[in-house]
Amino acid sequence: MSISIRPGRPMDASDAARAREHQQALRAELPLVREAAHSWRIGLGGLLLALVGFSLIRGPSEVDKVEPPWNVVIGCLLLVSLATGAYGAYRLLSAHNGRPRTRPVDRRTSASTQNHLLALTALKDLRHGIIATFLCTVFLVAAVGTTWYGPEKAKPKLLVRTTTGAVLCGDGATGDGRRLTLKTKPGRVGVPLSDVLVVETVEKCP
Amino acid sequence: MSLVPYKEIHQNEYAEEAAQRFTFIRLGSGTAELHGPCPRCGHAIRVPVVDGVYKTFWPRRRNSAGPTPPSGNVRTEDVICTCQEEHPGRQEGQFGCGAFWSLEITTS
Ligand SMILES: [Zn+2]
Ligand SMILES: [Zn+2]
Repeated sequence: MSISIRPGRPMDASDAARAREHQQALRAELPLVREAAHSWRIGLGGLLLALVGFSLIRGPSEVDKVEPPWNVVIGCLLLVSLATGAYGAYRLLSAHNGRPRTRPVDRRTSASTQNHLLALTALKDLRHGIIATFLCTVFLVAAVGTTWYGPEKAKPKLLVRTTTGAVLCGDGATGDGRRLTLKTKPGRVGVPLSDVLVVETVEKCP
Repeated sequence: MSLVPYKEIHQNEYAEEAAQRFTFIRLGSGTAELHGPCPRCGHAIRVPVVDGVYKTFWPRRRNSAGPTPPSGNVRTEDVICTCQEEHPGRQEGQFGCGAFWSLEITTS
């Protein structure tokens, strides 16, 4: 690679003013990026906190009601959401505060240039942080959505054995003192209470 | 070398002398530096040469100092003296001794 430097075009005062503005913009760049990262961090943090709080309050009791294997899917979505959220938070924090590591002392390049390189890194952190946080939100919403609209776990059924050897299974049991009525698959079936031998709960009807 | 007063000034010799004496150092990420002595005040300066400067998040505007050609060939860089030394008469927000010139940098 070869580099050659030649005299450029003639310049006037407005070109000089533009060059000076450019130098000023370079010096102001890093604080501007850090400030933007700060705003994003606060905004996205608030959004996430609200979402996480909301989903945690509604969380475990509702997840229990969802039919397998959807409860596992919800668990995985929450895990991925947590991971992307933590990663996004790290990148946003890095964008605001700088990466948590020391940098080799560079005496060759000017402070402006070093700050510009830092600003580029911070800008990359900021972009990735925003993307990761949005992904985290998407996974969280998917998890909450699956909890709400996923297939509900079947309620336990009642299994009734009678002295006649009949087996009834269903739910919605009612009684009037003489007969026990059960909602079974074929329809409502009643048996005299005196015939009832065993009543037990089962996960599923045979 | 006595301290020359701050004065925004352009002379053709500045560009010619700078073209002879400045070196161009690539630093990666669209960033480079020009190193050399200011042709007017003689102080050593290091001038950042960048592809773009962040100004606001929406929208991301590009370099204000002239159009940026596709990387890897010819670019014109307007340079102002950015020396750290005192020059009498310099105002807040001004840099160096006030000298400015333009360089054409060809990389291949
Ligand atoms: Zn000087
Ligand atoms: Zn100078």
